Amino acid sequence: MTAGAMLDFVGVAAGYGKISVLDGVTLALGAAETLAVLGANGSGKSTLLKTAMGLTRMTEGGIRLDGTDITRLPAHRRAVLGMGYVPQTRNVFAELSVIDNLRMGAFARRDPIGPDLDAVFALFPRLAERRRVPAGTLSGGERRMLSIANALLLRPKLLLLDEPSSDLAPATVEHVFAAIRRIRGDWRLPVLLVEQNVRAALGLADRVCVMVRGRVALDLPAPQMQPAQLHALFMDGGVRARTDEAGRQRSQ
Amino acid sequence: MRTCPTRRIVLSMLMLTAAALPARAAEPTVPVGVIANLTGSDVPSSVDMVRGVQLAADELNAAGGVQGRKIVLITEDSEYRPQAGIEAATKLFDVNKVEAAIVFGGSSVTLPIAELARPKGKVILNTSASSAKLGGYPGTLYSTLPLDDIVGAQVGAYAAKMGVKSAAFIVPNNTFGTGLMDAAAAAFTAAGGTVVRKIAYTEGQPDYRPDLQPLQRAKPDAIISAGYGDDTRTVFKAARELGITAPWYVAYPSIFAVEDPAWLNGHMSGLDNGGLDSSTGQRIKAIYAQQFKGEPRPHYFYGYDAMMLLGRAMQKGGTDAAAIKAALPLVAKDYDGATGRIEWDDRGQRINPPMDYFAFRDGKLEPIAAPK
Amino acid sequence: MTQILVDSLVYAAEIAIIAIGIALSYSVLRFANFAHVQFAVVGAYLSYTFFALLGWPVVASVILGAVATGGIAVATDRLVFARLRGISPDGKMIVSWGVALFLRAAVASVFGGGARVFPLQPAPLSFAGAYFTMQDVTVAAATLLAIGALHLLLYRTKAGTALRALAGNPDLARTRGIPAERMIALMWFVGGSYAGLGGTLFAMQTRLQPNMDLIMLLPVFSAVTIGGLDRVFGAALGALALSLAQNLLISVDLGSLLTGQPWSVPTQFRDFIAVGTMVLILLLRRRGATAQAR
Repeated sequence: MTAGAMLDFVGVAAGYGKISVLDGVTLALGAAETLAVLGANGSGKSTLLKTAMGLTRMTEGGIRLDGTDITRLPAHRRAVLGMGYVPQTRNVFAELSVIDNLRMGAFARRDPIGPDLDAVFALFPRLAERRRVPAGTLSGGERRMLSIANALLLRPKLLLLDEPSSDLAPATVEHVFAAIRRIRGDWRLPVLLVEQNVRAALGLADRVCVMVRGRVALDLPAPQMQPAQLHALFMDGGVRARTDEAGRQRSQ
Repeated sequence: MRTCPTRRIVLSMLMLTAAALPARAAEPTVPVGVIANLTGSDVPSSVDMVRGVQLAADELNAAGGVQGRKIVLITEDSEYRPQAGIEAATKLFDVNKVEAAIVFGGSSVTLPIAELARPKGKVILNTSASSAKLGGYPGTLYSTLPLDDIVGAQVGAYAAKMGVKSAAFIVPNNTFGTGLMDAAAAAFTAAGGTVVRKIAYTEGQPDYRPDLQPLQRAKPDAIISAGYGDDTRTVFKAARELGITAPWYVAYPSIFAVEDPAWLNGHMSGLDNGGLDSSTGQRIKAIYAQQFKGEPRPHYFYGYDAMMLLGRAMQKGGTDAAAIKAALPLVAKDYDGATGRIEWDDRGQRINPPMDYFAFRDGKLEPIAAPK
Repeated sequence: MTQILVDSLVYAAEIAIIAIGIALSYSVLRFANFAHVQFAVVGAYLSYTFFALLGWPVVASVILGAVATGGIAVATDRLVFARLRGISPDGKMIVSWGVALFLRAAVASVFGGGARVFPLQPAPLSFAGAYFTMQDVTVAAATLLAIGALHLLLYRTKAGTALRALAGNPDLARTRGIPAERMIALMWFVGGSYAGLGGTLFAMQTRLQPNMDLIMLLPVFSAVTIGGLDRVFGAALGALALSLAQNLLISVDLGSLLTGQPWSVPTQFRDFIAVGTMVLILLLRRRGATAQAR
């Protein structure tokens, strides 16, 4: 357990049904930190976020949110406690209008949501224009913005972003990442970011970790990350780097 | 195999009582078969039928038996199932060597038994089934109650006598309903009436308004109907909801279920098998009250008449089946039965049977005079 | 012709209110719940008990019967289906058959297998050549009201919107803080009450029998299939379409048109029409799906 961490995974093993994906992940997200999780397809990046939300079958380990053990809580309780999750796909309620999506984002709140609506519309003016249309008719970029706005309406303690750049045109990626920067700055939220787009992730993150076959193979401050290391981890499945890294971590 | 314990017990008891009668002496006897459903459905009616048969046999034996021999009843259980009925009949014909059997059961049980008896040359006396198909066994099957086609004809004639000029029919779509309807329509047309619509509805439907709407459009003077149970209640309900006001002339009103008595008051009349108030009927009804307490069901009277006719035919012609067949129509001519005068057509089925007429008044069926 | 329209509307009203509950539960739980039709029977018997046996006012009896059925539906979910959330839709469907059989046996053991009728004598009415009853009008009005209320619930309240969100994207709904199990309970309650109300109206129009679910089953599922399984108001439209098709087919005097002898399709063919339409829709939809896949 890491003192002062906003989100803390300790020896987490999890998967879907009989398939095991995460194999003992220990990872902490600091209180004002942006952590990028990189890795090849199938390395378990997205599963890590889903496990944080309680959408997978967790078999070992524990998860704490801001010091509270959430290991056994159902997904909706985690959301209420402050986990703001933005899935990669199926990230909006397609049948509902934009404004109803936002209202659903604030489902668990009893207080008026007007000020927060204004805030997310300021962040994504496009959504304000399209508030009456069904979310299913939005473009991919608009959906991602809506999904982020949705997560913000519960006033989360952190954001979990699952590949915010996937399937988007470069200009739109730029737009989305600019928004993430503003959230980090204005809303002071720690962000756990899963990305395929290494360049964009490195540009945003304070710290980077690389996942290989369900484990954290490398965990470094962003500026120290060498593209060669990354390359090795992505290409050979990280056998060598993981062994080195594991040895290094153990000796600490 | 047939191993139902209650059935065995009931059966052995009945056979014991039957066997107890001739046990006094080793006199020569005449076996007569009785097939009834002692288990299964409608057991009380069946038991009353057996009681009627027993009473007639006792009376015949007390008067010296037939041809100087005592009648011995051998009762078998049909369980109200065709298969068990056939097994019972086979046993009676082949093992007990009976020449004639008196049968209680629905048409589904009686028809296969008649089918079995015909090639064997045996005689069947039917006391309860009324399907018009039973008329197809002349020389084998004789009925002491009138068949549906006969009753149907009576209903058709009754409606015509009541001054109905145009009538629509509504009956359940089964052999009972359509057989009765066809006979009633023929009699009604023969008496000068016009049939404007014939409707046979599927049993067990939740709502008969769609079935009744064509009838309503045909605007008949009256509705001629037959049916039973919940379906008839649903039919009346549909008619009331559609605002149909034509009067109803029905066969067997006692088996109709009434939905709204107030609405039906003065709207329905009909006829049922009658003649039970004949002098013989009154006499044996009193005996029943003495022996068993309570009122006998109609099948008590039909059973009594069946055994009486059979006994008289044996006495007159002889105890083999051919002799019984020859003598039955002759003895029926001057037999004044518990169910009135029994007039048989050449099929051995009752014609011009005594009928009781009823009208629905004050929420119940009340006897009325027969129409002139 | 007016008669056909009136008959169709009334019959559609009887079917629709039950059908929308099935579509509602399909949209959220993704399985065809055969027990739903049996909830209708249970509701009918409950209303009958309150009204005919305890002598309570008719409107109170009907509402109470519906609410109690909603409660029974929620209890059924907690006791049975909540434990089976993870199994395949086919498995749930088979279990729902089992639940239906159990409820039918329970009703039969309490009330007996024989038929009963609501002691109501609605006045016959006539309008523009069509005959109907005050009860027909009540049934149609009650169904319209119920559908309207459901529309308000689903589209104008937070809980209803959450229910639609849950139906459209269950995982996302959970991660947005929507308590799925509570919403599912609400769905069972609404569906169960509507089934109870529909069953009561159906029984008032016809009669009560423990196995009356078998009479309702075909038209109800046919209506849901026509409407598109998970589309709640589609089910209501499906009921109307089916009812129109049935009544048109059995009312038209085909015989007079073709041969001069009056003859129409016998009324028992209603069920064949229901099944036929259902099969046709399923075939067309499948062909549509295959065409899209190409």
